[in-house]
Amino acid sequence: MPLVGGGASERERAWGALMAAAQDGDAAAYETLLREIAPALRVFVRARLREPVASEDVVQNVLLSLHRARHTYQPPRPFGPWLRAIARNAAADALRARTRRAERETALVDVERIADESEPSRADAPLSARMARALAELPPAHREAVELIHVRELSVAEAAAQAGVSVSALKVRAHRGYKALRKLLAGGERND
Amino acid sequence: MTERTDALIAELARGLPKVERLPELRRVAAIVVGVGLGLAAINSVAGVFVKEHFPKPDFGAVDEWTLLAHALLAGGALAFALGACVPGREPLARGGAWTIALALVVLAGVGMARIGAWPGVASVEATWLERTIGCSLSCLLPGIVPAVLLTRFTARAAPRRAALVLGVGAVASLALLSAPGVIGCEYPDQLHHALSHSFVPLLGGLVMWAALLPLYLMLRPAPAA
Repeated sequence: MPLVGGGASERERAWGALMAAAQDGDAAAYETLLREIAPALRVFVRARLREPVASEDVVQNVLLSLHRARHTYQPPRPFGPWLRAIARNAAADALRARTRRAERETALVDVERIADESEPSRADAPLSARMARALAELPPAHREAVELIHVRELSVAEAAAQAGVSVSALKVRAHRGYKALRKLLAGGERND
Repeated sequence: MTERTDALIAELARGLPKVERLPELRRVAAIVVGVGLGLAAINSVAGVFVKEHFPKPDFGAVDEWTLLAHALLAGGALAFALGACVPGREPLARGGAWTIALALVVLAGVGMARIGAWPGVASVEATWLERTIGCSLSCLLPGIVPAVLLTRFTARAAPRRAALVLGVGAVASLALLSAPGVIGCEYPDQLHHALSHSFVPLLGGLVMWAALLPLYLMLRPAPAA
């Protein structure tokens, strides 16, 4: 998909001139250029991602990538292919990141569902007992993370403070704990 | 335009410093090829005085095919390495990749011909390893110069697949410098010619790649905001 429609070559020539000026340190030309290309980038990115909210983040990523790579533009070469290559790469990175995130989140949702089904308040004693047994088998750090979030129902930040680790470290521990729990519970079901 | 994007644009433009543009790819290619061929010429002349001389074995047209493969490899690898460094120059990189593929096909034929004609382990002399390492180094050592030039350019451009670009750049540098060895080496053993001359851009490129990676990391500018 082209980044710009009719009159593209004229506009791209103007953008190329603005970028050349920006390379020489002309901040006003740079700001004008970024404001002019942002709507075209938005259309380009939305067509690739089909997700308006995430698209705006990707547009900002493209602008950051463009900023970092601005020394690689070689006037008087055409500006369009250079911009398209940067936008395409940033959109591809965003798609890859989204796929990875979706895979991780699906795994978490599955385990949380298992955890919810086995809450002690439910009249489901055999499953709760199994859950307690499975929890006991986890390494202490992972067990603590799962217990703080799911048994004591603390927020991730509170749980991290309680455990004395960073939020991201606690998330990793909890994630590993969920994974191990899922394995243990699935194994238990087969044995039952 | 959303407020956050608007704010980002204003932030990026604020206090914008002047940047040094990447040099023209044509200019970089001319420098690398010039340096490479210059060193090859010096290597060739030095070889006449330094190397031990044997009666030149007759390997048929294999040497000519090797030279063709190396010329394709040098051109293709250089085009790929340079094209991959600049956004929007992907067609150049793609053309380079196809040329490399063609060179590898020719090189595979050369390899089969050389190994097919090799009389076997019994033909290996006691000094074989020494000569094979010596010939490989005579291409590898001067090859460092164009490879470092390409690494410096790659570090400035900071492409997406920098490791691949560095490896291909190393192959291009060695392919540029291989001709004196292919033409001038008189050592009468096909396996020696395969390892030290025909495949030296690939095998040596692998060794050089491992050495260029830390250099790339050192030369790469810290990511700007």
